[in-house]
Amino acid sequence: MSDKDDLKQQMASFEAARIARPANLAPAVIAGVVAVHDGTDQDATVDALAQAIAQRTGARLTTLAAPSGPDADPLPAMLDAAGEGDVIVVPSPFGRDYEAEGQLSLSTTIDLLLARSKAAVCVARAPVADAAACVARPVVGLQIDRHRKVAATAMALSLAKGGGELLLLSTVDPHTAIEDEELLARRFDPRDMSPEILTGLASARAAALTADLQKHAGEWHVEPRVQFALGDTVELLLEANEERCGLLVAGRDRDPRSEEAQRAHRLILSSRWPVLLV
Amino acid sequence: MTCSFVAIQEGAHAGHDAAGAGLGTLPMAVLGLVMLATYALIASGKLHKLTAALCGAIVCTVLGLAFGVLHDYDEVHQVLGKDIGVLGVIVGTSILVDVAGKSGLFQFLAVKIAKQAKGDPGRLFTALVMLTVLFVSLLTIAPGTLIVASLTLVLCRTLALDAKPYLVGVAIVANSGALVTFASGICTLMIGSAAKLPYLHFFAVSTPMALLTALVAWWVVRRSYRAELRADPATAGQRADAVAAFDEWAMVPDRRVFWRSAILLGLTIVGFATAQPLGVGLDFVAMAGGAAAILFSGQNPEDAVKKVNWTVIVFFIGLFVMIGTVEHSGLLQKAAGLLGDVSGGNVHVATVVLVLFTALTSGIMDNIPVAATMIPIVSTMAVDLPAAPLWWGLVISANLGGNGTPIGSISGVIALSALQESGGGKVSWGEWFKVGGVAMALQIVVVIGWLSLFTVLDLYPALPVGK
Repeated sequence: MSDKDDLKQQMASFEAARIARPANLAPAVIAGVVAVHDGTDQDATVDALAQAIAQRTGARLTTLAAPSGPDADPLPAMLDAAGEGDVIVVPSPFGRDYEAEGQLSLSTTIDLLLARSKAAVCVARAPVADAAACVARPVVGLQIDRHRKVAATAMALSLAKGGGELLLLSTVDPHTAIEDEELLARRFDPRDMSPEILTGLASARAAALTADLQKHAGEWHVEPRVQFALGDTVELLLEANEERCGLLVAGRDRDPRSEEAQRAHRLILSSRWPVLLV
Repeated sequence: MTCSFVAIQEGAHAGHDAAGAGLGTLPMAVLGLVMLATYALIASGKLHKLTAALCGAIVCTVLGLAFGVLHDYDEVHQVLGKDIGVLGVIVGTSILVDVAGKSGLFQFLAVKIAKQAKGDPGRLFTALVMLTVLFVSLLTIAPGTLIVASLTLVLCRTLALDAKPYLVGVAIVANSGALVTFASGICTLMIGSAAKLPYLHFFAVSTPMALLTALVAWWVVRRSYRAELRADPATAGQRADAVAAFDEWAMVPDRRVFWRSAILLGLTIVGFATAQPLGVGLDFVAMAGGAAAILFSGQNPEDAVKKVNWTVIVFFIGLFVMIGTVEHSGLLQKAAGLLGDVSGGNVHVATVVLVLFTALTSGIMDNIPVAATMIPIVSTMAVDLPAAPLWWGLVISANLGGNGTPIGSISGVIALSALQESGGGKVSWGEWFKVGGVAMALQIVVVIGWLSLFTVLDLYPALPVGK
């Protein structure tokens, strides 16, 4: 790395301090958690996660046994329940409806729930060894949906506060065009930029949240850490969680055709840890 | 005070069994030419300094063995072994500095201090100058200058100020910052290690000099750019708001690592100060600090080690081997004799000659080879002359000499390339001479006065026996 790259990385860090405007971050209020049973062996995982979320946030926990059977449509009941809670915990694939093939899709029910639910959706994938520990150390992927990064962080904060550990992962994908007009007032071709500069950009992307979190960490009794990385956001998020085994948290675009929604979809499919989409 | 430099030479030769005795002048002349050619290549930039030093080392080793200057190849390892401590300090502190840098500790402090200026150009200049001295004293010149230069560019862009006066100021005072402690600069470290100068002695002799020369530089640069540093009262509120909006917490990715870095850095400084009384080397403290930094930061050791300035380490290895071989030929002892003859054996004159020679040569080329070459020379001169004025004179002049030209020190190179990179224009050699040259001239006058005062009043703390 040259001195010029070092200089630019340092400058990006100071630029982050300059552009950091208060994000008015505060723990999200979670009053109700709904655990949805699909009648399979995934119910235990869903219960454990829902209980852990309810315990950490002091929320009321309710359980919904989704209608089953060949002609049953569980979605309306789930949407109703989601309207009453702040977080709905569901298994995916739902009802193991497509058996082995179900591992390749979230199932139609979950896809529709993600598009329509007013509540945040926590999707359970595989059994979680220690649900309480998993929920107490969430990992937020800021660039899954950068427009919802504050909401995602607020939700993760409400889970981590009171002694948990919160990791924010800010990424830059060097293979895609960088659209950070709000940060840099211009578009960049990442191929023209060194890894150090791109890392600096990743720090700028997380600047406001970093500042808010670090300033109030004591007040919220949380250990926040912000990590910057270059590459594919989904892959980096999974890699960052490899040893941590925390709950993955990200923003959720309700338009399933959007790039953000597809990224979130890919995250759930690739993850063996639960994913909370806000 | 007078003395016979023939005796000095003989005394110095006694320390090296080869040291030129009976070898004739041919090996000296040839090895001296190789060394000068290497320095010419470094100074001209025709060859990267690392390549030049390695080539010089290889040629000198071959010639040294051929001439019998080196009895066998093991002597090369002995030459390197003498300086292994310096390399250890560089590696250990580089790791610690990298971890502390990534924790946001220095960036946090930098913004906190810069905000105190409230956007006023004159006060901002003073704040950046102080920050440079502080950071260089803790981090050494290159990383310290880099952080302050980058902050300067961002602040100047935010406040629509001309970055040139600030960066020129940063470049010049950085060399004063390298004098604050034993470990503040690589040059300081090399000379301090060779002379076995106690860490705490720096606070008596060198630290006041660092602050005084920084004050001189502050005054010269401020005076040279007084128009650019004048504040427009109409925009004072706007500027104050713009600087106040900087949020220093945005640069702290992990509070735990932030506080741990601060504690480790503090402990390392205490370790440096107490290493000699405890009977361990500074390299031990630096390595312990570096290891603790990796252990407590959770940082990938591979990443931390990558940040060590391996170019400097390899450059040093080449340089030490080359100079060690030349020293064995007896040439540097001859040079010491020549310097002694010029001074007539008077310590005041010898110090002044040494300071002027070192300052001037350090302005022309990288001060590290200058210091490395001067160390055996001063070591020889110090056999009969009082050692303290010579060693302190070498420490101070090797660092400040870089202010004479825009390429004389790494801080100048970093700050001026930052200025150019940011579109802030160039600083011509003429412009630099008017500012840096004048600053260096005044600083050298102050240094000579200070060292003379110490000599006359016998204020130098006693050096360990044998130095």
